[in-house]
Amino acid sequence: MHSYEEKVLLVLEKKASASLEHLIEGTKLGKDQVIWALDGLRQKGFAELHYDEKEEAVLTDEGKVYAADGLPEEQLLKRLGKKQMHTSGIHEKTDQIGLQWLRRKGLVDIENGSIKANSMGLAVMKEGFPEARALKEIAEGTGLAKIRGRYKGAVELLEKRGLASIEKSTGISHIEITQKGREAAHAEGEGRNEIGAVDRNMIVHMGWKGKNFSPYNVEEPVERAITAKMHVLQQTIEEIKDAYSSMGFREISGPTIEPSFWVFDSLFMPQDHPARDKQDTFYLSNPKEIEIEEKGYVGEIKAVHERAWRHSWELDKAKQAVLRTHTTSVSARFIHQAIGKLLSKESKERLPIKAFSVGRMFRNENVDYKHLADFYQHDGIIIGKDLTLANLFDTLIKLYGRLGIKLKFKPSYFPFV
Amino acid sequence: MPAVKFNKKYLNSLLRFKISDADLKDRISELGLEVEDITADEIMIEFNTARPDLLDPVGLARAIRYFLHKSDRFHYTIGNKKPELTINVSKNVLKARPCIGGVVAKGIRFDSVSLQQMMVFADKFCDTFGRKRKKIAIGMHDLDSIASKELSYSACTDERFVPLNSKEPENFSSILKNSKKGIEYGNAIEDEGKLGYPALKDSEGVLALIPIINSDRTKVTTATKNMFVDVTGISDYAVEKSVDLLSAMLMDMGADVLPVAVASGSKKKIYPVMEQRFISISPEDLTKELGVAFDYRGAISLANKMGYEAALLRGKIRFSVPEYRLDIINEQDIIEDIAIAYGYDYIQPMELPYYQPGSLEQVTIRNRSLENALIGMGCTQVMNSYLTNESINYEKMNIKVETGERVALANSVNSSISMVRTWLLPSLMLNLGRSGHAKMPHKLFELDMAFTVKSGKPVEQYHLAAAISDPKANLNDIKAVIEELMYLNGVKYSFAKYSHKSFIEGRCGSIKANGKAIGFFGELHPVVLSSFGIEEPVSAFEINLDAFTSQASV
Repeated sequence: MHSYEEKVLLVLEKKASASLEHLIEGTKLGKDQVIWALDGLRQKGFAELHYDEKEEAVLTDEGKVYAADGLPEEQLLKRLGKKQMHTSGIHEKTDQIGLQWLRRKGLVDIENGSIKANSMGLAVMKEGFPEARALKEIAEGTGLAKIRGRYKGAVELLEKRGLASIEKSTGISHIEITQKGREAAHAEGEGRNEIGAVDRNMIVHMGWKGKNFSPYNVEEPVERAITAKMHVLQQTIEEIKDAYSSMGFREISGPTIEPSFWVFDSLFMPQDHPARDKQDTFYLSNPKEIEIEEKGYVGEIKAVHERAWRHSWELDKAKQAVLRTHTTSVSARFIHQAIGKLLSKESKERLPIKAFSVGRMFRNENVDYKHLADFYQHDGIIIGKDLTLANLFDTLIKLYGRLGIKLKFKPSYFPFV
Repeated sequence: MPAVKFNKKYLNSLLRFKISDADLKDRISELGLEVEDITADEIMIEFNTARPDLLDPVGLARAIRYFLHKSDRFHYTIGNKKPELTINVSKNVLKARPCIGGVVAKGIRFDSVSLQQMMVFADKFCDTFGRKRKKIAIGMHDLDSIASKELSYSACTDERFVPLNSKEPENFSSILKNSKKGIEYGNAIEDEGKLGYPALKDSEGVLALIPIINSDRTKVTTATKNMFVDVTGISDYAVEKSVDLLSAMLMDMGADVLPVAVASGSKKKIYPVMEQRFISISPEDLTKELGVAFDYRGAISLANKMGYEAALLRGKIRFSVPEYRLDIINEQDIIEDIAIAYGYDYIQPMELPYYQPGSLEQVTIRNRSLENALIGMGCTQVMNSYLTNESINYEKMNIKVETGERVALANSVNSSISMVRTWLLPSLMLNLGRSGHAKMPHKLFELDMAFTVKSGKPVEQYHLAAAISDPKANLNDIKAVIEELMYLNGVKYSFAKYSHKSFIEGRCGSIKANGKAIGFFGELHPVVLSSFGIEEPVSAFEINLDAFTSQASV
């Protein structure tokens, strides 16, 4: 039996015969819930429903609006209060209707276009309009007979104003419990002592003692919860950072937007290398160039290029601003700085140095479902004496081992290694 | 780098020994090339090496033969033969395209396959190492169709000749403008011919418009017995080495290779140069770099595998650099070759002899803590491209394009990418616009970089933005997130009225930390929502994390 049905049945058992209102009061359920439960009880043969012809007040659309906002004359009177208002200030349709009714009911005096509440008006202001109250009670679902008893003539007035209508319908007059229903109520047995939702009061005052907890339906699926997640790419980045740092690497980072110098020249990439082509690299129009602060280093790089690549090296090309095409620019800056520190007596920097970076880099490519123009790279670098290719292999195997990846090495070609 | 197709039968005939497909694939891979596919007739190779001498079947077969110790011909010399042709370089071409060299090959026997493979090689070589013919271009001519022993190389006016595979004479300018090769390689000519058109001529007229197309008159076919190859460019060294490479290749094809003289002013140079170069490395240095123990015999044997003649000389191994190797700059390149010859699979990984503690940057630690806080508050992380356009970054957000403050791209191939984002909220709006079907509420955040330009310099800063979209969501939901973040980080904060076109007027505020503005929040204006296709209300904030962190006390 559903808990609503159970509640209704228990109230019904005490009363033998009850009206719908009784049941609503007794169960603390809503009207719809009670009617729904009664339908179930009737089908099970636990209750008999008796009907009679009934009159019911129903609000029109306009009536519904006034039930919420108040009658037009009520609204206007409230605004007016003890002040005066000029008729020329009445523009809104609602206010015009309000003024009509205030005049018709004789609650205001108008002299030379000036509106003022009279003594009757002031009294109504305190007591309220009976039709307004009736309107609210209709909206709240109070029975028609009760409203008629409380506010004489009000319902008829509302009907005349087109705010409510009286509709005749067949409704439930009373409900009787059947013998079967009585037995079912007994069979529920401890029903009266069963606990549904546990509340604070019950816990603190041990109200649950000596009672049973009604079982919930544990088999019925419910809607899934929403999980807030870290982005899977971020997870991977963090895993890589942790793998590096656990192997004694220190994290470094560097600019995303660089002069070509740090992305290409300092990495021994000749100035006519195809990777510097406009097709592969994002060059910038704002800013077009970025100054290279390390003037002395620029000279050294120029000399190395001109010796090895046998063509003249142009500073203007090195200044061109680009979105970095790899994160090795971070390593290049770092190596330069580290060497500076190693040569300086004040610095505490000592060999060996292990550093890594993870960052975004860019390729001027068409974007589709498997290609992006920006993606991530990681760079590891060890500066030390007597480092061998065998050391590099070991480091890479361990790093990727931590990420669950097995490696096989093959010779290949990369311009700056 | 390009993928190249080799004819398998041709390659096998050049190898001169039997080898299975699987073994062939392994050997090629050990040399540092990637075999994509082997079929009954062809081998597809992904070319990723600094060695253009492997870019054709002749050179690859040579390298494999060395690798398996099947060849000990380490030197390609030409001796004291007399130049077969002389090229006179005129002064006026020195500005347009100064360098030229060449070589003659007699008694060559082409079939359709070997000819086609050589043409393919020349094209690929000029496209990659030749930087689309700007740096290097190769022209092949039937020697017997050349009318004189003296050739001229000069910058010419707009002359006419019959280009390759054509019957009608055509002007240089028209070839540049209208032919496929002219359009493709035209910009390899300085200033599009204003400095004159570089052309090679014999006594009868034009042999080639350089570096675009040869004449049809000297076309090389399978009937060609004797061939002249010209190499032009802008760097003497590159031209010299390219002629060396071609000469070695022609010798391996069985031709009698004869020199070509180039006279420029009072200078005369004979090609191919085939200069002997030596680089010496001690076995200890090899061990130190590679972590593998070598004695000199072992090292010499490995050198031979890579085509170096090598000998022990005063305690060091003297490597003789093969004439066709364009890529050897210094000893590092040779050490790499020794590692390749040894085999990467056989190098035993060796642990570093030291350990030191690692560390993360403060910014990583900060970002992790903020990400955890936001995820704890039920916000899901998104990561978006840094690249965007003015429409998304500004216009759809109902604000004016600020051309001065944005990092703008000069040459994007992608029409939807023209700048780097200046803030993160537009990215979140894109995400929300695309996820209308998913279960509400949508609570997203992004923590990443935003970029601006200040006084001509790029400024890169971390931002944090979050957005909540739900039929029941209002401004207080997003304010609650901000307040918690400030509390967690010990920031003294306050809100103030703020006006921002992306948000509804009167429903927008600025966030101040210790009185300093670090960001803003608000309910997105319906105009903005509609432009991103969002149908539920959205409240959002964005803060500059670098400004935020400087105010944080935790």
